Amino acid sequence: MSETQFDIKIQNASLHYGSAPVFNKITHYFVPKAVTSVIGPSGTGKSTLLRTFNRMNDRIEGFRIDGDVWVGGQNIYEENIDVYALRQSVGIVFQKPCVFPKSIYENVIFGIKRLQPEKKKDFADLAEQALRKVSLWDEVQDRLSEPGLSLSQGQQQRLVLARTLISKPDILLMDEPTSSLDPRSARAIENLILSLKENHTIILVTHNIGQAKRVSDETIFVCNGDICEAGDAQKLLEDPCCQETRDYLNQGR
Amino acid sequence: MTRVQKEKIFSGALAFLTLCACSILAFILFAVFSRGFAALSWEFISSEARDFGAKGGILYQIFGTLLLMFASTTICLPIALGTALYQTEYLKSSFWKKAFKIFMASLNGMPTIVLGLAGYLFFGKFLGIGVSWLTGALILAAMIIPTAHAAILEAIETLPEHYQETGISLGLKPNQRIIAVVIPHSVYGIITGTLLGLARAGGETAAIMFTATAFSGVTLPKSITEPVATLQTHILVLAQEATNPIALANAWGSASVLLGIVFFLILGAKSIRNRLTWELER
Repeated sequence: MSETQFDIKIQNASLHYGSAPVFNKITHYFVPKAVTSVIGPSGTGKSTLLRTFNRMNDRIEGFRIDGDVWVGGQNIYEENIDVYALRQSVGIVFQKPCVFPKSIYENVIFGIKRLQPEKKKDFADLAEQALRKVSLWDEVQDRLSEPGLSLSQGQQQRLVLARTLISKPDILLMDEPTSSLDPRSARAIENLILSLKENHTIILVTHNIGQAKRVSDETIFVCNGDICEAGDAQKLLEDPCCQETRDYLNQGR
Repeated sequence: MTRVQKEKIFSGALAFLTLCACSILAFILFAVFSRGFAALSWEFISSEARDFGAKGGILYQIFGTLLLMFASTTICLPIALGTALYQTEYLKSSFWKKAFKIFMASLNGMPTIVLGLAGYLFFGKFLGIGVSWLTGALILAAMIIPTAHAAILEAIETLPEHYQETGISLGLKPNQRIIAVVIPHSVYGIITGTLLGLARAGGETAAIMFTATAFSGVTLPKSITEPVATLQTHILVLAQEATNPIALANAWGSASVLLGIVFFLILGAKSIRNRLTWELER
């Protein structure tokens, strides 16, 4: 695969909070239309790395990045970048589903209502498509006007995913999206991830090694401010090359 | 003396000090309402003052107080909301954030008579509005900005972080996020700030005494440049007529009405604040 075919590239990038480095000169090309899981011990900057790709770290005082981060063919830390358009094309799902105290329908169209008001007539169809994509339509089609908060935690996470997908992002960032869910709901999200990778490049931060095995095509292991190891998910998770990766995986067994 | 006994004495002393603080309020409420109750009647509230307040009621004083309260809050609210939003959503530099906080605290601590004087010089003299209810409303607005600003700022700053993050992650611009996320979810704080501002404006006397009010001979203002009568100045002037028992009774009656208005607004603010807390903890 040539360099230009990658949706997301991080090249020689150092990430800092104030004077404290989180990552030091890391480089990685993420496989397009595939799931890349990011694993590693707590506090090693997995979420910071994830949030770098849609510039969610910008609002953290003292956050600084040196080097290049390419998303969809543009260096996103250049001065003239439209960061709002970037965030629309790079959706993110957080650990805990954030549902606004509004109806299910209003939650789904929350973003596009403000960003694409000219499509008002299509909102209902777009909401249905998004809810179908996350397999929630059958469960909520008769109660779209009910509060979003009345849904179960697993349904709320799918609702949030629908709200993200309705903007048709090319890239999906997922920050431990199943950590607050029961095993059944977590499996539903995993199945969704697998179905979504056909059209999206997905980066998934997870602590769940089993999950990483089930859904990832590629895995990267981060540790000590570096990407210690990266490669085919099954191979890396079964037979890692690096001692740190081996130690980390053995802790979970 | 055992540790348990020491602890009991310490907690008892603290309880006594708390009781002292509460008893100040209880004493004021008792003193005002017990003396003012005799003067209170529908006629007192609905008729105009006669004989320099020694007879008649306080209709135009109530009107003047409410006019100043609502006009000043109407002027203050967009400024307080705008500054709080600018501070939280646009101002990046922590230095300027701190400087702004100091500025607001200084404005809050400004003696109201000084604010009244400066306001009169600027609005009354320099802009030529003179002694009028508009001058008073503008001065009161400047005075209550820090109160309303602090309540609104608190509401915005305590907004759950994930609401803000979600708005940002969806690609909303700051103005879209303010309209879609920040204002709707801090509306109770905005109402609280407004009510506290109203209450503070209602309790102020010094800043408006010589800038917006006339003691007698005024009814409903016919233009924005006319003064109004207010409960605050009415109480002050009647209290100086201490030898006239009817005037004094009317002063207590007026004080009861003013206290009632201010208390109603503070209790309203508190109940909305409780609702806000409940919403956030859900």
